[in-house]
Amino acid sequence: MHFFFELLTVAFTALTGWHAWRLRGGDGLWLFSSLLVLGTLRENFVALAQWLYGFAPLRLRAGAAPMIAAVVWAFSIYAALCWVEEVSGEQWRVAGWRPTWRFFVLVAIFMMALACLYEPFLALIRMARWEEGTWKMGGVPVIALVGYPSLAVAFLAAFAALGRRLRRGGPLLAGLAVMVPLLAFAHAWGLQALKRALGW
Amino acid sequence: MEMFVEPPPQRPALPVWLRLLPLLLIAVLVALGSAVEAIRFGALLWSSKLPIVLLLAWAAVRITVWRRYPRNSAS
Repeated sequence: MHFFFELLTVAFTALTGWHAWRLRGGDGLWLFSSLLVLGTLRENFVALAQWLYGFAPLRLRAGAAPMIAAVVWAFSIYAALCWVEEVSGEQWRVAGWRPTWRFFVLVAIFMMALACLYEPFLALIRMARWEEGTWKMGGVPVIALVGYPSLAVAFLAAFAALGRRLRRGGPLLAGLAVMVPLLAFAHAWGLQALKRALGW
Repeated sequence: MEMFVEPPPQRPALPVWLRLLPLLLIAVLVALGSAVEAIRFGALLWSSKLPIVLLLAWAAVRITVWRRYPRNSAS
C-alpha cells in the first residue's frame, strides 16, 4: 500500500505542476519549482538531523528523504494557494503583488485542515513516525498544526517579497537560491526547537 | 534593488474543472483515504477529514455563486 500512495502522490504532484504552468505560465513554474526544492531540502534536513519524525522505509527517494515527503509540500501549498484564490478572489502573481492578511490566514486554515487529513491516515498505515511522546489531539500531532501553515505562509510571503523587489530571471533566481534553503533549514530547526521548548 | 510594478498577467480561460484541478485531487485523496480505511481497517476517520471537506465545500459554493453572479474583480 505504501508504494501505491508514493506513486499516487508523485502523479498528483506532477499534475499540479502542470496546472501551475498551464494557468500561470512561466511564473507558475518558478513558484512550483521553488516549492519542490523547498520540500526536498526541508525533508532532507529533517532526515539527516533526525528532527521531528522518522520515515518508513519507502522505495522512491529524494536524497536522504522519501520522495513522497519531499513533493507533498509542493502539492499541498500549491493546492492551498488555489483554494484561497477561489474563495477570496485575490490572485497570486509574481511582480508587484502585496498579499493581504486575509490571504495568509486562509492559507493557514487550509494547511491546518490538510494536516488533519494527512496525519491520522499516515499514522494508520504506519508511514508517519513522530518522536515518542509527541502530543496528539484526535490523531493529529499538535506541532503539525503549527508546522504545516507556518511553512506555507512563510514561503508565500517571502516569494511575494522577492517578486516585488527583483526582476524575473537572474535576480529572482538568485533571491530564491538564498531564500529557499534558508527557509527549509530554519523551518525544520525552528519547529524542532519549538516542539522541545513547549514539550509537545 | 529596484522597485517596479507590472500589470497583472492575463490568465488563460480554462474550464472550471481544470482550474480547480488541485482541489479535485485533494477531494480524490479524501475519498481514497476513506475507502482504504473502510476496507482495510474497518474505520472511517471522518472527524479528521471534516475540516478539509468543509473547506472544499466552501470553494464549491463560492464558485457556483460567482458563476451565477460574476464579480467585476474576479477572473
